[in-house]
Amino acid sequence: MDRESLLTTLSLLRQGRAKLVSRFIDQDEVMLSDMFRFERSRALMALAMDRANVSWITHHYELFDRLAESVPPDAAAVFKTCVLNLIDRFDHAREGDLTAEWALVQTMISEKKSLLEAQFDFSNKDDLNYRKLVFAQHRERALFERIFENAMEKKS
Amino acid sequence: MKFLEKLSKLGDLIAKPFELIIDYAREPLRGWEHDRSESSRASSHAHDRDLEQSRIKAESDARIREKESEANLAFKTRKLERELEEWVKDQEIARFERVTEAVMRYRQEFTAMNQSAIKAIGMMQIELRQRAHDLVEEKTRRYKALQEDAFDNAVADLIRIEQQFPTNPVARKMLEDAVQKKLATIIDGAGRFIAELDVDLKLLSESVTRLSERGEEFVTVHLQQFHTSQLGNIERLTVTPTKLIDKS
Amino acid sequence: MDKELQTLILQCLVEQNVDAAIRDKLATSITTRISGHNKLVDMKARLAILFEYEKNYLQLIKEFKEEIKFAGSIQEDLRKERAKFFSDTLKEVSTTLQESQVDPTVAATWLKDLVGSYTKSLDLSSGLIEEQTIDTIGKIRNDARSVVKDVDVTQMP
Repeated sequence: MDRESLLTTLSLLRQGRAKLVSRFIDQDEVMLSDMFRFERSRALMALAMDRANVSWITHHYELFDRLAESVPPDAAAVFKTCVLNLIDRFDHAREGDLTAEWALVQTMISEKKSLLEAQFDFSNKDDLNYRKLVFAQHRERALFERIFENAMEKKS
Repeated sequence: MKFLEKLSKLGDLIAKPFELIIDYAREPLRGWEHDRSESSRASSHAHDRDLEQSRIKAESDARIREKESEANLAFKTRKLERELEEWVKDQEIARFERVTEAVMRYRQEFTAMNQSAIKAIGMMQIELRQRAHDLVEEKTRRYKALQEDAFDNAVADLIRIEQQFPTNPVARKMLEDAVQKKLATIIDGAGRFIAELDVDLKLLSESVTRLSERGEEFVTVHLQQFHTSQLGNIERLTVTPTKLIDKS
Repeated sequence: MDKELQTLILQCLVEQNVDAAIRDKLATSITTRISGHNKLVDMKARLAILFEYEKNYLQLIKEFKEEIKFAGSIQEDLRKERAKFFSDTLKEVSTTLQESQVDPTVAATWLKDLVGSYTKSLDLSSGLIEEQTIDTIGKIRNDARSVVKDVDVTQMP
């Protein structure tokens, strides 16, 4: 790999890292609100982290697409390999031209993103149900107390 | 010499030595011609007839020697042709080996990519299903807690009723009914919502399956492309050396 | 000592009718002197070849010195980035989370994830540079080998 390719690839990776940090420092709203909303739910917190990771990988794809034409083919191949390696548990045994895997992962990442959203939607829907029930409990309690009070008064 | 031209298409490296050999084959012929011109100059005019005779003899000798050299040359040429055939055969074998190697490597890569894609899709499925399962479990527990809470409250209420209305069965019945109704609302409500969780879990699971199907579709399409491109590479190896020569 | 040379010289001496008694001694002494001179010539030739070799080799080193220096400097940059991350950046992130009053356990989980992702990216970058350096060294070795070939060592007497 020549000097220019190496520098391009390293720069792209570095920009990816900068994004990681900036989400915290610049207080990314989605991320921060997730941290509060899901304080008490391990499952939802895990989903939130999945969502953040998916968004990070997607950011790398965006970084690459932004430069697209101007990236030398050497650097492109190496960068793609690196990004695929960033994904947890992706089997990176194969060497050589990874264009197919690159595109495949892109599809799967976007599918995963929508499935994660589906899980959040599902969770939100159930939260509404739960709150309804809690409300019902309070209301029933209040109504019962009224009946009880009534009965007590009648007693005396 | 057309044959030589053909050879030169294969590059100087091959043509050169052949040129030299053919050149060398011509050497004796040239050498003899030189001698001949020398001897004709040296002969005296006195013996014209002898000269004539020897000239005729010399000429026929020359022609004989020419024929010999030609035969020699023809023989050398045939020898070279055979050597060229051998060389071509060797190239064919080497090419065959290269193609076989390429095919084997392609199969390995194809399989590896297949496996890595399947594994990735599989992992993603497992992870997503796990998440959904954990989520449902958490939420079910939450509902169950609510049910327990309602139950405890009901028990406390019933005790209160016992204590406050020991001698009033009518009042007691009314209040106990109210407690039961209250409890039922919560228990049934929670039960319903838990059932909904189950339904939604199944739906989520189905979407995850659809993901994997989409992924597999995608993989198939891309493996097709990979397949085609690799075959293209292999075909490029199939230009035979003989084709190179025939191009003349 | 060069036997062939000695025989030749002896022959010359015989042709010149040199006295038999001193012929051998003379031949030997002349041969030795000439051989010695040849040795000098040999040595000069060897030195010339070595010098040629060194000149080309040093040329290579000069070319690759830049490459090696370059690789070293970007590797150094990466090390600095890594150090800065663990000392400054993490602290800054942690403080930001604290000030936002994120639950400490939650913050810890996200920090752990941040460290994991960041270091993975750093390690990949570091690996790329290493590979480049190894490639460069390998290239130097190969080019050095071909230098040896070009400067035809077989011509060494």
